[in-house]
Amino acid sequence: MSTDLSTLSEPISETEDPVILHTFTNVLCYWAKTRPKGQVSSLPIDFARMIGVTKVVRQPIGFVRVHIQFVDRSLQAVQTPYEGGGIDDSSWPSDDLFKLSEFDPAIFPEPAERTEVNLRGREEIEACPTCNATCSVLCPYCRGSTTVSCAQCGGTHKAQCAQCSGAGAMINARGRNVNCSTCKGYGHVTCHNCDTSGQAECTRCSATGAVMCEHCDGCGRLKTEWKLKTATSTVVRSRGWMAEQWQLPMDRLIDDAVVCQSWTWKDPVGLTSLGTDGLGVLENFPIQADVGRILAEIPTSENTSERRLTGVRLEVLASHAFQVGFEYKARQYNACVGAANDKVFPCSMPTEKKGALPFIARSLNAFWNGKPRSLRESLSKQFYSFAASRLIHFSDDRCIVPPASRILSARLRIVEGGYELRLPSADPNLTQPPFHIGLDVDEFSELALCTRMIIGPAHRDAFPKAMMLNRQLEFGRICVSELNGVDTFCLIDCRAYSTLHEAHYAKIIRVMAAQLLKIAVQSSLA
Amino acid sequence: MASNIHELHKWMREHGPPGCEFQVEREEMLVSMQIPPNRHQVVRVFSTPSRYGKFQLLRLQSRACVAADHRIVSELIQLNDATSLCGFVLDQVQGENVIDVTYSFVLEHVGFHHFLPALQRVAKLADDIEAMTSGGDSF
Repeated sequence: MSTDLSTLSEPISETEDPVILHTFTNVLCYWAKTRPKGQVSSLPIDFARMIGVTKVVRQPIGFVRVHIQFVDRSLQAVQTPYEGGGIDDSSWPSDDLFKLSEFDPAIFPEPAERTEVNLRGREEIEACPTCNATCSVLCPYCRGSTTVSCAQCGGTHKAQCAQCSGAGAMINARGRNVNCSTCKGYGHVTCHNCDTSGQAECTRCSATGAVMCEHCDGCGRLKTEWKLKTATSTVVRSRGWMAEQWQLPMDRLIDDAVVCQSWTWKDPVGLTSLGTDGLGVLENFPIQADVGRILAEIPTSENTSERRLTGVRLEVLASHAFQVGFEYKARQYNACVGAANDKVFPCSMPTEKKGALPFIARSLNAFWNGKPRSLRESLSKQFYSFAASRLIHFSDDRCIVPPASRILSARLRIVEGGYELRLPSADPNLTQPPFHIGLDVDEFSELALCTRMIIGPAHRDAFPKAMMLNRQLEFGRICVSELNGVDTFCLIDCRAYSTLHEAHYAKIIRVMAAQLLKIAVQSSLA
Repeated sequence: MASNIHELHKWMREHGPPGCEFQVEREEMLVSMQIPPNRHQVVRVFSTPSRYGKFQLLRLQSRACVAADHRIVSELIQLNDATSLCGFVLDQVQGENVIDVTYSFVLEHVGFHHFLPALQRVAKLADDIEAMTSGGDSF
């Protein structure tokens, strides 16, 4: 898709080209088959098999998107223990938080970014309020009494006898039960960790009754420093435009649109002149009015001492959408399809009917679904699998090209109208020219698969030589095509799509690549 | 699927269009076809091994005209871009430049029902060119 502004002034066009109708039939079939389960019930069960696209209308869609960057700033005092040394009590150059450190006014982060920087200056020393500069506080365990209840005996002054484990008796060598010789049968002995009242020395404060102040780390003084917190956030506003109003949720299409042009303003003062400078290129486009409206909505005067609008980026984006008219059981319906990712937005759709006749229809449909694909016109599971991975062109409903490219270990890319296929090169320094594969309807109204490789510029003197070379070719023929206004020799092979299958096509591609190499080596055409 | 020329010949005799005449010799068959309303065209159908893989090619060839001058070569090489299926080839036969219409398949992948339309399209294109150039019906 072209990405310049002229895309937006393209006219609304309508087509009944069989390839395009065929492709959009596949798009709708794929959409119907892959809808979430909860939504499927509303569509007739034979929808994908019975629909046929009859008309496709295309119109360009324009979007204006504005990113507005806000920067929020705040100060935070941070106190740390002061162990001595110099302090920086110099004043700051400004009280304006936005002048204390630099920031990028126009980075438009999504999601918001948060940063912190330490500010130099305005440092202060003060006595620790927790210990009143005494460096220590009352021990929280013994509360200054220097003793605590003995942890070993629980304050009873009696410890369990280690010899008999508190039983008071033991089995002697002769197997008789006798009193424990250590505790004399009491099961406990005197605790040696505490005094007779069961109190032991407090180990936390080493029986001093005081511990070091944790707030100032025992320094008695605190230093106050300053931290500048910055939060950069982006507010996005967008507006869509189309010449004919279709039932399309514009907010879901903007992500696929391509940016044609963008403008960025960084100077907050300059933001007041939005909509004047540099936007002259929009003069001839109907989207200009939307640009003016959306710029007028920017809250340029909402700045406070802690929040500031720092930058604005205006983007004009282009995309296109299709309105697809289709027939289901002799009735007309329509849907809209978003351009880039073939998103389908139903406008009018047939719905499942209940009763005996639809039941019979469903049964017949189940019967058809069990038949080989030659007897029905629905898409294969393989097609859905490739389509889900975005590896197949919607016209390639017999799944010929992607499997053939796998056989060849080739790189395949979907392009408008078909594919671009690159074979792996044995020599990494040698770039293989790509195969341009297109699906088109031929003069007999049959879908044809055309495979083309570019040989090089064509000079008239070489025409007879090229035509003679055709005699040696096993597949395809050399032709002269006008590409970008220049006569170019191409190797082209066209064959009926219905006659192909993957292994057959892979052989043709392999032979064409070998032939092209031979042409390049043996002749002066390439 | 066809495995040789003889099978194609047999199938053509049973299912081919009326008015076709056949001449079969080893791996080659000459099919003389009626082109409505009252013209005819001969198509040579032959099989050769591929030089690029282990498979047989099925090739169709039909003479269109004598390349009388450079202009017809220029026109036909550009027409090669527009025709579907088959293409034009310049050949030399007994010192004379001739234009043939050719098309090829991988023999093992040719279905009978694919062969006949291709044969008819090669014959029709060659005959159209012959009618446009010499106006005769020699080939």
